[in-house]
Amino acid sequence: MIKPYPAQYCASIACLLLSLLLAPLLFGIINRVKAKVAGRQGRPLLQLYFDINKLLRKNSVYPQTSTRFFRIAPVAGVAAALAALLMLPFGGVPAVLSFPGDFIVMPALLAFSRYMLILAALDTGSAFEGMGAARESLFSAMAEPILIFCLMVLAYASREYSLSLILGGLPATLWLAEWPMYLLLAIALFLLLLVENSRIPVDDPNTHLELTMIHEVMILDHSGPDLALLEYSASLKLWIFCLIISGIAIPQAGVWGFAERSSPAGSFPSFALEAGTMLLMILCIAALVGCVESAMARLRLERVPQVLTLAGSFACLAALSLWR
Amino acid sequence: MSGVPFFSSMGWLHVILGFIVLTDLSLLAAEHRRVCIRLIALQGMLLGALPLLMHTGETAIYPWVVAAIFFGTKGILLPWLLWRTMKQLPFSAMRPYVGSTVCVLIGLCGFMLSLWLAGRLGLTFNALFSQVFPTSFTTIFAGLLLIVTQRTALNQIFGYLVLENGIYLLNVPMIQYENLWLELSILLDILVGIFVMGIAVLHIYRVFESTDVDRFAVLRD
Amino acid sequence: MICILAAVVLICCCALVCLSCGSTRDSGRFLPWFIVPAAILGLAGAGASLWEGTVHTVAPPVALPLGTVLLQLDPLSCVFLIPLFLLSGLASLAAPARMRLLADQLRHGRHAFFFCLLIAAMAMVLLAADGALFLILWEIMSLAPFFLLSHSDKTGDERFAGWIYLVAAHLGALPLLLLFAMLTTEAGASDFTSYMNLAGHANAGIFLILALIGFGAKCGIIPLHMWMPEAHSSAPGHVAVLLSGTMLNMGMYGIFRIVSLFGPGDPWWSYTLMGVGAFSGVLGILLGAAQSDMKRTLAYSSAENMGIICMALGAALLAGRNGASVAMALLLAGAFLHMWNHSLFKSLLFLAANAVKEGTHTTQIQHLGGLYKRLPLTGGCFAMGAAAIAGMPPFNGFMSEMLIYLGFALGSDAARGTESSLIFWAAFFVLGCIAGLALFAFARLFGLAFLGSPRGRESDDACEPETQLRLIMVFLAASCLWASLAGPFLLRALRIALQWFSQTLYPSAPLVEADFVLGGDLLAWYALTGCLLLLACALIAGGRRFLAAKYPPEEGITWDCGYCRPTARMQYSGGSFAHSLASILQPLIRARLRLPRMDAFFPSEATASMEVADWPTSLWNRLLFRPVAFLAESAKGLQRGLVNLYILYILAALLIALFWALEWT
Repeated sequence: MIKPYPAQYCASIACLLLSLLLAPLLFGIINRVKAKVAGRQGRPLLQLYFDINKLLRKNSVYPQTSTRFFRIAPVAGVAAALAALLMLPFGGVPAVLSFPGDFIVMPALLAFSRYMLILAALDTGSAFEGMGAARESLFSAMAEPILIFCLMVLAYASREYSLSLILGGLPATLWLAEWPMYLLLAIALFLLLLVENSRIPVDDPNTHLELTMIHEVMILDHSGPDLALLEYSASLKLWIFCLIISGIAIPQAGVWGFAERSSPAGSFPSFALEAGTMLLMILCIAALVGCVESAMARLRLERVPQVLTLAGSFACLAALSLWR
Repeated sequence: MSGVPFFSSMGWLHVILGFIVLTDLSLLAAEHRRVCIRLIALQGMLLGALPLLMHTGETAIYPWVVAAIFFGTKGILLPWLLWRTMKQLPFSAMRPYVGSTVCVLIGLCGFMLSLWLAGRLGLTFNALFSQVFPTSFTTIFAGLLLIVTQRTALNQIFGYLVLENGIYLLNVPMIQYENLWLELSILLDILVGIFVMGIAVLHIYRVFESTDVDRFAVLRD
Repeated sequence: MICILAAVVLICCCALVCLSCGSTRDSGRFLPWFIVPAAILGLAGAGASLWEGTVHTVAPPVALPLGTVLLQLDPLSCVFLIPLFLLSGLASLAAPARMRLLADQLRHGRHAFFFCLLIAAMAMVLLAADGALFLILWEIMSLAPFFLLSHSDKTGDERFAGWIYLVAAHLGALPLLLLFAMLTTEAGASDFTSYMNLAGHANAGIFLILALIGFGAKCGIIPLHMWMPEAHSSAPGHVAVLLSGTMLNMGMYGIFRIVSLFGPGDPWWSYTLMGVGAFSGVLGILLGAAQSDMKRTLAYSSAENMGIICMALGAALLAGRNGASVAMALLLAGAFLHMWNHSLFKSLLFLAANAVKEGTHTTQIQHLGGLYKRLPLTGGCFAMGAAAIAGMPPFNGFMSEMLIYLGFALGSDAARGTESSLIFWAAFFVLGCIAGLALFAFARLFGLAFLGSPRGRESDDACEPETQLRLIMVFLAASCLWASLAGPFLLRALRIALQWFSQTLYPSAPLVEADFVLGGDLLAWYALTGCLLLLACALIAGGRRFLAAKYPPEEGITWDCGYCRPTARMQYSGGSFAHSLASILQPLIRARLRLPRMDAFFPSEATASMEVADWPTSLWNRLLFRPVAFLAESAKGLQRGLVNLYILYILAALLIALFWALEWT
């Protein structure tokens, strides 16, 4: 268990606020990378902030068929993502809430936001949104067990059952001994990131054909502040996945020899250094998503289960390499 | 793989073995012949490098020679031959009997089985052998699976090659005893086999206008 | 013990009173007056003895033909008695109005009599500590629902449901008869304490298999579930509550009892239990996700939940064998809590589905839609039940699943590097798949039936059920939430029962209090997370409302990509929602698709349909039932109606018997 002490709480809360603040930046980075690869200028990095700001000052239009569920879904999405972020460590900085078993609760919170979104999509009574809901629920039904299995494998490797210790305090010795496992898991989780956040090989957020979309088609009828909340919760979800992957990819900063966490209290510079490394890694992952999106075309829908199988196979290989 | 130092030769051995399992699974997943041949070449190169890591004997030159031979044949020569054959055949989308997703899953089960077997058989007489066994068994399994699930003769050749790679892998730990003649003879057999098959596949194609093994069924009487 | 016996006597009195009223219209109104006090009495008794963990035995001096009347109240019975009394009290509150609605199809006195008899028999089954007594009560309990289901034999479906139930109940009783006969001959006496001496018996494996078949048929483990979709979908609400909320638990009770009697057994016991549970769980939710009838989906999901419990039990045995006591504590606690939770949310869902059926006269998804606007309270309760069963925080369904997940993870950690850890991983993954598919199934069920716009005219004049049923549904929905917030308290209530159960399994190393600390902590944290989630929702919704006051929202038609005349028929239907799932997992679902061919430039009217037949049942049909039916048909030829022939048969039989006896001696 992590023994709490005030400095650590301050650091945790600071990192949480940082996450909440910076999450929409990821979409900006992805778009900027895509634009650069395609030789365009691209949208401003802060575009999503501008969008959210504008949407918050507009009024919503609700479909006549819709009920309460249509209105709750955006709120629930942000709330669930917020609760999930409370459990995720930021590099070596432990999470605000950390308890043994939180690695099981965190994916359930994400599932909750998805469930509400599916209900909201079905609430409009539209063919397109029903289609999006069917696809989203199918792919998430297949992605969820893989995500939770990956986290279980990590827990098994570190013999810890709290995300703060599984991802945050990854000792360098363990990382170096088991690095193929961590690499395989990072790949599996990256594939899951692409599926769960509806990125390009799985879903194209920018097409003009609603028939081909998954996530975007579900929120067609949301407008105004509701849409802002949905966009924000989507970016938080992307941030969560990036956090998990970079937590795996970067062991405790001690590996690189420039930060010592010998004292339990941890000094401010060491926290700052770890958080800084983490932030850099998260931005790199976003850039990587951008590169993948520029390099690949969208897969046919019947191919998506294959991507998921691939992710599952990587997770399974990681588990087996650990078991051996 | 727990507890192995990062940069030791044993660490690298495990990495290579892991990559070989990955190539097996990717071969099961691959749907284009070009990809298959590249993967086979990659696997051959990885296999060729193995003698360097496993050798603990006296002479320094021996492993290099062996590695060069296998690297050349498995990693370059055979894939090149296959590539040439493929170029002469017309393009055809592979229509396997079993979908690639299912194949990968079966291959994973095979890997699990071979890990379990390695634990169960208690192969203690040779430390290296017990390290290599799961990978080689998985490779053999993947080869068999490829042969069973593929339709076209060329793709079945891929299966035979992978199978042979697995058998070779079982034999590599013997390099400590500087004795690879058995393996060399098998390799020679396969080489001849590839030539024959390569030619036969072309002939078959000319006769049947296809290399679909289903059509061979008419030859049964 | 006295409380519970008094409750049973009260229920029996009620049965007699109802019967004496004959078929007068309103004999159902007596039910709550008797059963609710009885339920409160029983709950108090069972709760008190669960909390203290005492074992009471009563042996009235009454002789049975083959055994003795021996009643015992131990912690395991208490665990199962609590949902039984709770739900029978609620069901009896709901019953009079349901019976009034079915007035012209129903013989009230008879229906109420068997309703009471079913409850009393279930309570007594849990108390019976003697093989012969147990079997007799089990038969009464199995037969009573037949009379509740066949109340109206007007439609073929309901007749079929009654018959298939009867046949399945009998087939399920056969292995149990064999089991108890074997036990009694081996042990020399028919009471459970003498059975316990057989713990290490060479045939213990056969006992388990027989119990799994017999009790598994009662709790609807796939492939022994064939009666369940039919019976549950045709039962009226108050009966469905008893069938799904409590009678399935009776089957689970049998399995738990047998496991506690014959100890942990060999490792293959756990593998079998886990395998059966995983199969039933995955197949149950897959078949349920593709059904077009609301109640059938619910019935299949019962098979899924029973599978989860079975898997947790098997894993607990395995963890105990590996010495992972914390994992065992988590898994057992998860299994028992999941049983309680399942009773809560499944009865809520069945009551709400029944309210839909009363309002619209259909439960077919393709005729429903948009019900939430007409039945906001039923819809809201159904939404909470669906969220609970789909494993959404902050509801109670995920609470028990979470314990089981963590139990699997800890179990694999304790068995590091052995085959057991692989098995725990597989179980973990399977549970994840079940949870994911449950999300799919229940988002589909609730979303299509209650949201969107109405697909048919059936829901036009739907109205909410009467106040009593609404109160019951609100109570159940609230307890779905309450149970998850009171998780640590529930675990504390269960702790002594769990310790008792582990004591019977591993007398040398039973669970101690410290083993439950992790589970208690996790449940407390889960409750806290749930509160935080609700708080965050409330805060953000408050902010949203502030914005809405500033920029008032308006209503418009569904935008639908600019197509301004969307009709209800364009919505996704149950079949189209499940279509891609069914096509990806075709080998497991075996849906039959009928798609129209469209080759003209202007396609004319066409229909597409997807039919999900229950393939385990059709497999049984092909392998067992049809050959048996064929044999039976051909045996009819023996019966010619000629007296001479019959006498010839007798003669032949006598001769054969004579020769056989001579040869034998």
